[in-house]
Amino acid sequence: MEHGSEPDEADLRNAIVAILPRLRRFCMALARNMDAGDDLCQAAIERALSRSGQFTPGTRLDSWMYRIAQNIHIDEGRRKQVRGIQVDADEVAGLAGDDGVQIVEGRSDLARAQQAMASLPEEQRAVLALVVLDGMSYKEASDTLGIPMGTVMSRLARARRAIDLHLNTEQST
Amino acid sequence: MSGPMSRDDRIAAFLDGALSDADHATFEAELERDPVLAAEVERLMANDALMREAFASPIDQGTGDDLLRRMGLAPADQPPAILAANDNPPFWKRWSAPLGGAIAAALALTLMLSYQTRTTPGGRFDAALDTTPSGQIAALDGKRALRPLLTFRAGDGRYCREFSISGPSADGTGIACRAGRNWQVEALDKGATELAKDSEIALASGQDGNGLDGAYARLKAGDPLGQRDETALIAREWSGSGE
Repeated sequence: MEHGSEPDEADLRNAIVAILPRLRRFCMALARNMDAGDDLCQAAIERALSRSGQFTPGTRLDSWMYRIAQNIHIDEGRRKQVRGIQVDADEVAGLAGDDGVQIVEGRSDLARAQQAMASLPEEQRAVLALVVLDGMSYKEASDTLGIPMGTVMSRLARARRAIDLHLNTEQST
Repeated sequence: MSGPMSRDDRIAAFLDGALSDADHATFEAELERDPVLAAEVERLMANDALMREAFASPIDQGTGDDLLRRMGLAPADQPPAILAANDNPPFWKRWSAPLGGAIAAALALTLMLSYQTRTTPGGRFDAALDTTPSGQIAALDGKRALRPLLTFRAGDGRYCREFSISGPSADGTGIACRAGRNWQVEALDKGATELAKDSEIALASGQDGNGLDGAYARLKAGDPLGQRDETALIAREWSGSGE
């Protein structure tokens, strides 16, 4: 077993706790549903802890965790494709959360924004979540997703256009 | 930013603060001259703000105990501080702690006990290890909870799980390997030994007094299984485990 400079388990857990709200938000955006997002987040944490030796101390934990979450999400998406499972964008209704508090109840503007995110293609959602929601720079998003900066920008521009269209269309109906 | 940018890219770069100072100033001048562009930028900025608000609930909810427990990160679920990592350890050494003579003696004493897994909470102990994915918590009884930490394969082909037990008086960790239809405890640390004294969970023969470290070495532990492999094993009720 190769363990090298494996970080301390407790330190890693504490570091994950520190970024947990942001990780949950990223997972929520990817999974298009808060419950599914939390399932994804939990799976990502479990995988990260079981592979803590693969994390390089001194590098960004958030980027590492986001990559893990995205990989799990992509794998799950492929499985659903193979099984022919269709994911309905209306699942976004679940974004309100599982704590019994319907944060979007009576707030259709937020619900529309969540639906707009859910309607985006996978790769645009990830970029939008990192840059617009998480405040990452293009370079940081590029490093996190392993794609060129130009691709980050073009996906972001397309995502913003789609969201603008979605919100305007919804508002005019 | 290098090279010419499209109009959309420029707007996005402006919104994201990615323009150079010079380009930013140029763009602001354009905004003053072009009300259509200004209106578009203003609308996109409002969209971004709305998106952030729509996805603010995880940030607002923070990191309460319930959430941490759900995510497998609750402080109570963590191993005791004395089990902290050594320098450059194999994975299982993260959980290990040197055992003193008194603890080793306690372990030796428990050798004399049979491993009664089919009586409460022993039966629940087996069931918890049979069915609970790593990172999740299963109640053993009203006072104790077990959480599998990882699954690995021993050199003899058996599947083994490291687990933590938490109770009212102590927390601890141990290792059990599946033998037949039961789980045979191979090692318990100090806290788990304390909890085992109050229950019918006891060490089986074959354990050693050198704690988890010794058990991992003796078992010739392989790397921890990934989530997918572990899920598959649980689904097929641990068949093909080399029993």
